[in-house]
Amino acid sequence: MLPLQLDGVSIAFPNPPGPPRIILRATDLVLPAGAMVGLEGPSGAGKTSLLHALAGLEPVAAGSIRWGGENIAELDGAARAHWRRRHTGLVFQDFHLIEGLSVLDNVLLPVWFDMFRTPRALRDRAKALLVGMGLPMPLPPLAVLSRGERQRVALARAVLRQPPLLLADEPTASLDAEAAGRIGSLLVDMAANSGATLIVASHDPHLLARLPIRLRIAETRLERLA
Amino acid sequence: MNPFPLALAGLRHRRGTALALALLVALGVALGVGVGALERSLRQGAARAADAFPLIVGAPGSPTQLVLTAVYLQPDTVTLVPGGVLTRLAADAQAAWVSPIGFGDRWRDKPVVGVAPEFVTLGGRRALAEGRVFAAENEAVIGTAVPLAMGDQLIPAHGLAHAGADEDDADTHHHGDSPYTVVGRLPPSGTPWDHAILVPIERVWEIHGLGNGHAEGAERIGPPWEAAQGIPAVVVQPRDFPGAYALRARYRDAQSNAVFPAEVLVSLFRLMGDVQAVLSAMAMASAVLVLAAVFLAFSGLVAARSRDFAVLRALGAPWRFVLAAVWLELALVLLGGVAVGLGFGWLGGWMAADALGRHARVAVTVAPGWDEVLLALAVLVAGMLGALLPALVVWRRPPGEALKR
Ligand SMILES: Nc1ncnc2c1ncn2[C@@H]1O[C@H](COP(=O)(O)OP(=O)(O)OP(=O)(O)O)[C@@H](O)[C@H]1O
Ligand SMILES: [Mg+2]
Repeated sequence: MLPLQLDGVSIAFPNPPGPPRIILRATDLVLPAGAMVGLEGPSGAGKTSLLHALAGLEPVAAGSIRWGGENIAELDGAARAHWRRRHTGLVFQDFHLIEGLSVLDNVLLPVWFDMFRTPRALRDRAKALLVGMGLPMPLPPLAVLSRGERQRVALARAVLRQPPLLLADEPTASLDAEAAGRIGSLLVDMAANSGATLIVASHDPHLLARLPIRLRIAETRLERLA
Repeated sequence: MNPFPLALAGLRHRRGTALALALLVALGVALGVGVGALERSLRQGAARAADAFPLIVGAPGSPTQLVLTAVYLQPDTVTLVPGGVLTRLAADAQAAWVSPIGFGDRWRDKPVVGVAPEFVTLGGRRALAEGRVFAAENEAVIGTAVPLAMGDQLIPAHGLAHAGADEDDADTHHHGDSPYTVVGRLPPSGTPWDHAILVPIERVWEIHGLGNGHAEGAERIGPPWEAAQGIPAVVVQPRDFPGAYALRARYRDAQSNAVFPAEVLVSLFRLMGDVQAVLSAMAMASAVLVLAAVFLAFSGLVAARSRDFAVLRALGAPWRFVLAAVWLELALVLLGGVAVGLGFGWLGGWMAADALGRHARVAVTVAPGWDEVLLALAVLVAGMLGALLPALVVWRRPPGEALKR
C-alpha cells in the first residue's frame, strides 16, 4: 500500500585499500502502491543489497528512498528499525527462524518488540495463518519441520501484522519445485489480499513469471523489463 | 516489550553450553564463598573456646602449647608446673579462683581431667545442664558429648589421655578399686571439653601415687592445696583487669609462664589471617579467571546467535529489545551460577568446617553470612555489567552483514 520513489540512489561498499566498490549507481525509480515486483540479476549483482537498502537495513551512499513520502535514507538506525517494525514484512532464503522458540512463538516474535502480553486477537490470527498455509495441527516442534514448512512459518511471521510492504529475498531458492510453487503462490496471494507492495528478489523463473513488474540489476544499473 | 521468551529460547537451544557456563560461574563463586565462610567460622569457634580461660599458668615454654593443652585438651609434651606455683596462686589475693588442669586417665576415648570445683561452674558463672558439682573424690561431672547418664559409674583406664589416642597404645590397667559416679553434666561449649570427664584433681594425684595434695589426713576437695603436685596448667580467674596483668607479670619467671589465651589466639589468628589472605587471593584469582572464561564463552554464545540478533533487527526490533534479550540470556546464566555457587560455597565451607571441627573436637558452625552474600552480589553485578558489553557489540554491528552470510 506504499508507493516507492528512488531518487539518485547509489549503493557502495568500502573496499580497502581501493576506492569503494559501487554496486548500484545513481538510480531513479517510481513504483505505485500495491505494486508486485520481481527483481532479478546475476549472482553478486546487488539484489540483496538493494533489498536491504529498501528495507532500511543498510544505509545508502547517496540518494533518497521515499516510501509514501517518508525518506528512510535520512533516518538513523533506531528510527529505521521503528519504521521497519511498522511497515515491512521480510522473508529470507534461509527462513531465519529462531531455534528454541516454538512454531507459534516464531510467528508472534515481532509482537514482543512492543508488548509484554500477546493480544488474543494476534495469537488467533497467527494460528489461523498457519492453518491457512496448511501446517499440520497440532503444531509440531520447530526442529522437525521441513524446509517448505519453515518458509511458510517465516511467511506467516512476515504478514502477521499486515505490513504495507513485503520484501522477500530468494524465498524459494532452497526449496524443491513443489514447495517453491506453494510458497510463491502464498506470497503473491498474501500481498494481493492485503494490497501490500511486494518486492521479490529471485532467480526462480516460475516465481518471477507471477509478478507483473520486472526489474533487473546488471553492472550497477537497475533497468525495467517490458 | 517482552524479551523473556527469546532469552529462554536461547538458553533452551544451547542448554549444554548455558549449563556449563553457569557451573563455571558457580565454581568461582563457591570457592570464594567457601573460603570466606570457613575462615570466619573457624575464628569464631576458636575464640569461643577461649572464653572459659581468662589466664593460664603453666611451665615455661611455648604459650601456644599451653593454650592447646588447657583450652583444646591437646597436651603434646607436657612439662609440669611445680605444685608450689598452684599453692601460691590459690592463696593469691588477686585471683578470684584457680583450678589446676591435670590429665590422668581416660575412659574410652574421653579424657579424664582433674580440676577444682570452681572450674566446673567457672566460679559460679556456668550453670550445669544436669546434676551438681562433684563433692567427693569418686564423683565426676561429664561433658555434654560423653555417653553416660546421671548415676552411671565409670572405671577409667590408665594412660595419658588425649583426644583421638588409640586404645591399644596406652598402658591399660584398670583401677578397679573405686569407680567414678556421674553426678553432673556440663552444658555444651562447642570445645573439646564437651568430651571430657571432669573429676577432682585430688583423685588424679592419688592415682599417680602423689597423695591428694592436701595435708596428711585431710580428705577435702578443692583449694587450698598445701601439698599440691605438678600439673600441666592452672586456670586463673583474676579479680579485675589490673589484677589480670599483675598476675601475668608475677607468674612469669623461671618456674612458670602466664599467658592470656585470647592474646595467644589473636596472634594465631594473625598467622591464620595471612593464610586466609593467601587463600582468598587464590579464590579471587580463580574467580577472576572463571569470569574471564565466562566472558570469552559469552562472546562465543553471542557470536553463535549473531544471526538470530540480526534477524531481530531486520524484523524491526528496537535496540532496547535486542539489548535486553542478549543481556537477559547472559544474566540468567550468571544468576543461576551465582545462586548455585553461593549454596555450594556454604555447603562446602560447612562440610570442611565440620570435618576440621570433628577432628579437633571443636564445634565449628558455618552460618550463612552477609560477607558471602556481598561477594556473590559483587560477582553478579560485575557480571551483569560485563554482560552489557556483548549486548552493545551486537547492536553496533549492522544487521545486513549477518543476514547475507
Ligand atoms: N557488507 C558488504 N561489504 C562489502 N561488500 C559487500 C557487502 N555486502 C555485499 N557485498 C558485495 O556486494 C556484491 C553484491 O552482493 P549481493 O549480496 O547484494 O548480491 P546478490 O545479487 O544478492 O547475489 P546473489 O544472487 O548471489 O544473492 C557482492 O559482490 C558482495 O560481495
Ligand atoms: Mg542475494
